[in-house]
Amino acid sequence: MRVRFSREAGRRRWQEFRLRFHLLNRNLLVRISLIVIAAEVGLAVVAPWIAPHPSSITGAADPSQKLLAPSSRNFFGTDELGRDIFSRVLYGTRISLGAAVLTVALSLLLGVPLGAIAGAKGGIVDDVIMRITDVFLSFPSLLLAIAIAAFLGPSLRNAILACVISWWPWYTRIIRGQAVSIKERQFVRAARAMGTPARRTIFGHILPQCMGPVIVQASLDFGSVILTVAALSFLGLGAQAPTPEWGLMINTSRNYFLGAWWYITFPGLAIVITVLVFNLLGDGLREVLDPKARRY
Amino acid sequence: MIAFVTRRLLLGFVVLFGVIVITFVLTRVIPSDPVAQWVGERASAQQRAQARRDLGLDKPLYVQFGRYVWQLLHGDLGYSLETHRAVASEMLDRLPSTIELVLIATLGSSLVGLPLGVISAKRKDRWPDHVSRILSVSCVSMPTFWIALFLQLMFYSWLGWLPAGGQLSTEVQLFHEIPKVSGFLLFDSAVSGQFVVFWDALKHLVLPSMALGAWGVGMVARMTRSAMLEILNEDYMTAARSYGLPERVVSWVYGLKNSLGPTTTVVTLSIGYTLVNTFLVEAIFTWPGIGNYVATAVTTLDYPVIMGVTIFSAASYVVLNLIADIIIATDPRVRL
Repeated sequence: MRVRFSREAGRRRWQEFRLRFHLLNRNLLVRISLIVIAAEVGLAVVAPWIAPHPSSITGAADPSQKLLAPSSRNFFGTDELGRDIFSRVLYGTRISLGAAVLTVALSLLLGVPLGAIAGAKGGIVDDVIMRITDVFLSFPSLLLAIAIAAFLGPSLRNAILACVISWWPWYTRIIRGQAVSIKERQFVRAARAMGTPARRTIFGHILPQCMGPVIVQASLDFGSVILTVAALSFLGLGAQAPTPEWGLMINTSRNYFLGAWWYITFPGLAIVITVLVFNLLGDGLREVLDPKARRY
Repeated sequence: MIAFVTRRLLLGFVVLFGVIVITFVLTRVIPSDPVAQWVGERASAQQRAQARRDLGLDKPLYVQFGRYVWQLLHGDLGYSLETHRAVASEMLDRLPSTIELVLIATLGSSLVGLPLGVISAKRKDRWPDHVSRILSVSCVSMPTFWIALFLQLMFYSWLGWLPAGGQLSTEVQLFHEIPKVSGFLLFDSAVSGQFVVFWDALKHLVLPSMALGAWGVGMVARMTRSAMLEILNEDYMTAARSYGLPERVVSWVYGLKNSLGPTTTVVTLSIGYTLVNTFLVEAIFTWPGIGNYVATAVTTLDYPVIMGVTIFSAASYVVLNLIADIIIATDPRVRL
């Protein structure tokens, strides 16, 4: 009986997913951004092997090659130490995407259980958790991230940590709103009536039902996280030299770019394109998942 | 209404207290040694002990915290570890330049973003809509600091039309009297009739405010578009059309007026975001504001300065939030 029920539910969920993907895929901009994201993920994985000048990634200086304009040898030109900017931008994909994935994953890990507990428990636990998120959500996350990263000390790890600390409350708030409505549903009451322990009820029954909106929000957040990590690195609070992080590369280029346009242009374009495709995908997702905006 | 504002004010104080707690806790876990920074590396043990006492670091944590809050209530933000000057007065000196920049940037982004959003909604799913949507999503996807550098490259280095940075050119500073009435350079020079100074200051404002305003253009355009889309097919719009009013008046007067609620919120909140973005942009344009101040403090770990600017920015954001809520609440259709 139980098996048949879950198989039926699974089939329905798969159909729903296929319908949504079909709707998503009809949007041209979304299709383009999905392709670009897939390509970037692929490049990030194989970057160390396909980079034309692998020694440029960590920074073997070659003064004879410094600040060369783009050419067939160096597609994006070279920097002040004679390193190939194309190889560095390519490898930077790995760092930026990796930092974004890590930040969003850790924020989910922190924010989701807290939201589920707040929503399901109610009362004073709910009040305490939600007032704390109110504090975090009442001012720009970049401000908090800058302050935290400054105090923790400059490194990519601390920049990611700073982003996590300023990001988790968003997920807590979304999950809590969902959990409050779901905990009154019949199946949760049934579970509780059968004497299921609170922890199992929250994490086994309520939480899985709340994940939809959070996944949408998380995919939307990739773009902003990439921008924030780049901004922190630009301020000198994130990745440190010689890491080929895009924001850091732009920061270093500040002393040279007036005579070497390629130095600032290409790392910047890498950020813009990556953030743009995630934003376009997010807009598309919202249109498909928001019933008000849905068009058949 | 009064109950609503009181509740929001109380929440605002809770938020600010939270920010103070967070920043205070953070300053106590930092790996650096503020005493060494205060007296320098070659200080004697006695000098170090004296500095420790002067900075209040010999007291227990809760005493330090209580003292910090007490000082904050009196407008005292402590002393910069680098310059040994009061953070509050250093910030006050720099504030007008930043406010001027933020206001001009926000004004610019509203003037561009609003029409963009209206056109986009009016021509939904046709090419003006596509162009304006791609434009606005690009605006929010570009790193502010990159836009700033790129504008410098284009308008200073390639075209030579605008200055690279600073608030005034050197020759203007040398040969003209710089008026000081309110501290707001544009306002002061206009009021005292110093048009050479005014023109020069205006030219220096263009690039930084463009860099800062780009993000706002995207936000305002997106919000106006979605607000307009909800309104365009309302009964009162059809009624206005059936009176024979020209479409221009219907959409730009009736439509825009009714979509101003959400747009005002976005504009007000984007002032707060723009303020934070000055941390990234001011240093690039050597703009003498608080953004530049904190960007320097961040690299030297001058924590009283970082704390001061953080608390100030959070406070202004909370106030702006409150103002946005009050503006919306004055709309008679909104029931509290």
